Amino acid sequence: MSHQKPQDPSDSERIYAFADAVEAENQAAASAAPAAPPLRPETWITFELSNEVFALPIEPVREVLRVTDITRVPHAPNPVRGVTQLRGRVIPVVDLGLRLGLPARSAGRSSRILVAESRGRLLGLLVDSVHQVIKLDRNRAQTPPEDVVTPSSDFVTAVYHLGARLVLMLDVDRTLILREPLDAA
Amino acid sequence: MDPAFRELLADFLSEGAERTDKVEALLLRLAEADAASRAERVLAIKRELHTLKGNAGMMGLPAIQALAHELEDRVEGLDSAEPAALAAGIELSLDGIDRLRTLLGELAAVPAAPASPEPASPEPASPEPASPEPVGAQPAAHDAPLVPGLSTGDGRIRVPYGKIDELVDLQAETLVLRTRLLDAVTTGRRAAREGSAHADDWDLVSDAMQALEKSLERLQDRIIQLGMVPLEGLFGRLRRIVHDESLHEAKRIELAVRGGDTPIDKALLEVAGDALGHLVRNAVIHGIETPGTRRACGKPSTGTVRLEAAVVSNEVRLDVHDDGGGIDLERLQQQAPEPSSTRDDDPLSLVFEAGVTSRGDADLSAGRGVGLSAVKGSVERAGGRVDVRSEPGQGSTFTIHLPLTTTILRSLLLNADGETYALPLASVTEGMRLEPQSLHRVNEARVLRWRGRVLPLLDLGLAFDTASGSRNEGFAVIVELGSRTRAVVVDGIAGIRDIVVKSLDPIVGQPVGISGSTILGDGRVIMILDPASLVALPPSAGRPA
Repeated sequence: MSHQKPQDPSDSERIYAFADAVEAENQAAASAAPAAPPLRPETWITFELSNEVFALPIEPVREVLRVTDITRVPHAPNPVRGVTQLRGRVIPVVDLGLRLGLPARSAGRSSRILVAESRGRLLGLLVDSVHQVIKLDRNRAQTPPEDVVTPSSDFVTAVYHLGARLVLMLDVDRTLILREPLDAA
Repeated sequence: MDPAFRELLADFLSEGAERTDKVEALLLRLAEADAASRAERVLAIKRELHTLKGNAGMMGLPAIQALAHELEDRVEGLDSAEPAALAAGIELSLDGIDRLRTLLGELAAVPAAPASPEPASPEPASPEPASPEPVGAQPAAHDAPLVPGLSTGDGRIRVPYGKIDELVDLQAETLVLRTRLLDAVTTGRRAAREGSAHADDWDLVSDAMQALEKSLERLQDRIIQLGMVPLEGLFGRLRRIVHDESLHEAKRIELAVRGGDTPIDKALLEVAGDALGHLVRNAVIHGIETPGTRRACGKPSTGTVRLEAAVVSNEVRLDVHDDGGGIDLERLQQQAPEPSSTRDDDPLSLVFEAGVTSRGDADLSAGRGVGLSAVKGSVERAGGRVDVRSEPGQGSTFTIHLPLTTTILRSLLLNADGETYALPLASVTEGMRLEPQSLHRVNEARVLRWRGRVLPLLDLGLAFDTASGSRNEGFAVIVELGSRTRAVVVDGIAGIRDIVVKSLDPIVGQPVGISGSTILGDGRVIMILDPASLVALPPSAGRPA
């Protein structure tokens, strides 16, 4: 029964270790120089959607789950894949690719669910695969070209050159706060 | 406002609301009492008011203090008053009670401190001073001190509802774990029987498991009881409604209640209170005749509204009976918007249709023809139902059925197209294998012939887009709710389970036919079907699979 152990311990331990380190750093920074602008490198989690690399700040991410059972919710709006459970809590799973207006894909072996917390609610974000947890320096990020408008450009606040690849940095509030009707996406 | 003071204030308000309810209840029963018990009641009223006055003084609330004092003066001597003076005194005091409630309500509505650096008090003031907040009825607390969060001296503590909800959630988790453990133990024992030396150990594990299961069951029971409150808390309000409305209608009416100690899930208290309020008001206004009419019919001039509450099997049953003239069926049928729309054999169920009223004129209290359909709707949304019986000349009885608990739901597990669903058992009349000879088609709609009735089919796969046509094989489950019936068609019935209701995040929308979700013992999440919206879905059309 594979779904009895839904989370991948190596993934989540790594994330927690990073999250703790960041937390400690934040606290140290806050006590040392409260007025300093937040230009330190921030910790992000990078993942793939339709062969593009995206990144979300690590803070709201609580866990990374392997995809086991996602229960379909009849008549749910399009990007909602269904619901799954995490330690007795039923959480919705949103296909982040569909949410960003990317073409539909089916979940594969490398697919993961990022469980993020937003205003006390847990939200599962389905991604094609998780790459790494990494510090990205916002000063080195560039604003996305203004004349390129895609369905996902509303969500992308910056682009970042990471080696040979381009990382699209997502706006955490737009990605996690889902007040607007979802079927509009 | 200082958080500590805010907490004190919240406590004062909920206690003040209780005392106000109590004084009101005593006032309403003052006229019917004999001299000795009347004196006792007046004394009890004065004691409540005195404590309220003292506490208001301590809190620095002069308006409430003055009003409590004024009321004290007003009830003084009522025990020895002449009937006319007594009635007048009671009315004046009741007006005072209303003003007291308004004052308490205004205080509760005061917003929390602006721009306070401290975190807000964890327990905001109760927004509705009239709602019976504490668990259990409070016996007369003569000198209860204002200790935040506690009421000492009578062996009770006050616990916020939120804490009980946490317990219920935790308990739900143990239910899931228990099932998982049970599976593991069964697997282990089977393996041991098939030739390992550890059979004895597995017997020990299994014994412990059984003992654990029994104690978990008891624990679950007690936790559910923690979330229940006695219905009594609602009765005061109903007494007041009968008092006010019968005065307004110039009728003489007695309210007789039984079963005040019946427990009800606090989550259903509001639904029950609103529904009973409607029904009792209706009974006074529409049900019971004027004293003159009653005498002409040979009935006692004082009418009786009887309210009975009881736990019957897995539900709470609330009967509101009046000994009035009964429902005028002819008039009802004339009023029905479309006589042909009657789906039921019982014409009386027309009273629940919006726009139908048995009264010619609408006024502030009743007669707009929305009351009963609203009552029915809210009770059904809470997982219950309402029915009505009426005897011309003898009166009517409305019965509200509500689930005993909203946290655990006894459900039928259904399979359709590889999905599993839970259907609350309360709405299920029968389950059966689909027989080809009982399937028919009427005007493109597929129907099932069952016990001389013709029921519209609802294929769950079609309703939820998992199938392209209505199936001809499998099982049908008859779901009945009020006047609507559907034969819900599925692939299989997988048994009965007690399930723990988990609400769905609003992000998934409000799917029609679904009321929530639950987690099965194997960790799978399944959808809970909503009988009220299922029976409202259009029946599955003709095209067979």
